[in-house]
Amino acid sequence: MNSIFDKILHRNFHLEISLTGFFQNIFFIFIVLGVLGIIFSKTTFHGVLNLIFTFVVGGIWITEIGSSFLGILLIMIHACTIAIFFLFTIMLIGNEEEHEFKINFSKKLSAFSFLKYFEISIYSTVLFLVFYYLPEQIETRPWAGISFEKTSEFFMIAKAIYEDNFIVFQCVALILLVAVVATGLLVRKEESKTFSIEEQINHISAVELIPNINNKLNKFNDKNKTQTKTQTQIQAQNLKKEKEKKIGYGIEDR
Amino acid sequence: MIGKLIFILGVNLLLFFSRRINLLKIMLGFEILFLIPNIIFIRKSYLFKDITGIAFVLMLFGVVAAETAVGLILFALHFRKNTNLSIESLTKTGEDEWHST
Repeated sequence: MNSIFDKILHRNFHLEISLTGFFQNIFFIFIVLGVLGIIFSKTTFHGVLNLIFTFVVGGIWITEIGSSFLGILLIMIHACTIAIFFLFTIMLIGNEEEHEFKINFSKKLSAFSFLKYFEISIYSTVLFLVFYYLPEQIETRPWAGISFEKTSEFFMIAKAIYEDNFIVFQCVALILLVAVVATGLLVRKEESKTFSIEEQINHISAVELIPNINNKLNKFNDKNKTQTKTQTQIQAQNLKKEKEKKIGYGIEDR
Repeated sequence: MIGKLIFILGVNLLLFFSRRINLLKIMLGFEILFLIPNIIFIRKSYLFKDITGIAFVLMLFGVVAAETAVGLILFALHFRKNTNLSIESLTKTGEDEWHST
C-alpha cells in the first residue's frame, strides 16, 4: 500500500546546498512574504503593491531559471497591466481602511477563541499533505535535449502553441474576445445617445444635431436681456429721483 | 514547495480572510491562485523536459487578464449601486431582490 502517509514516512529528505538552490529559496521566501503582505495589508492599495512585488519577484525567478521571455511577460502582464487595473478601480472606488480586519491578539489568545481559527489550520494541513509528496527537482532546460534546426525558446514555444495545442490557443482567444465584448456591454449606459453617420458626413453642425441646446441658449440670452433692461431701468429711475431731489432742494432754498 | 505554500495561502485568503475584507481583496486572492499553476507548470516543464507547460502558462496569462477585466468592472458596477464593496452588501442585495420578487 503506497498511501500518502507511507510516502511521507519513507520520504528521503535531501538537503542540497548550491547557489541556484539558495537563490531559488530566497525568491520563494520573498514571494511568500509578498502573499502574506497581501493578506495582512490594511488597505487594498497596499495589497496591490504587495501583489506587484510578488509578481516582480516571480518574474525574476523565472528569468533566473532560464526562460527570460516568460519572466518578462509575467512582469509586463501581471505587475504592470493587471496591477494598473486594480489601481484604477481603487481610484474609482476609494482607498478605504479595513477597520474590521484589525484583531486584538492579546484578547483573542487569552481565551479559547483561537478555536475559531482552527479550521484554517485543518484545511492548510490537509492541502499540505496532499501536495507535499510530489517530487520537485529542476535539472535542465526543457528544450535542451530536443534536436531541432532552431532550438531557440521562441521557436519551441511557438511550435507548442500553433502545432500541438492550437485548439486550446483558439479557446483562450475566444475567452479574451468574450471578455472584451462583456466589458464593453457592462460599461455602456442605457441613456447614451449615438449620432447618425449620415448627418456627420453631411457636415451638419453639432448644435443642429441637439435641438435642446438652441432652446437653452435662447432662454439664457432672454434672461440676460431682461436683467440688463431691469438694471438700466433702475439706474434711470435713480437718476430721475436724484434730479427731482436737487430741484426740490433748490426750490426750498430759494 | 512554493506552489503548495502559495496555494494554501491563497485558499486561506479566499475562504477565511475574505469574510472580513472587501471584494477587491478577493480578486487579489484570485490573482495569487492564478500565479500557482504558472509556477507549477514552469517547474514541471523543466522537470519533465516538456515545453507544453510553458505554452500553457502563456495561455493562462490571457485567461487571467480576461478574468480581472470582467471581475473589476462587475465590482465597479456593484459599487455604483451600493456605494460599498463589502461581502455583506452582496448578501443584502440578494436578500432584498429575493424578497421583492
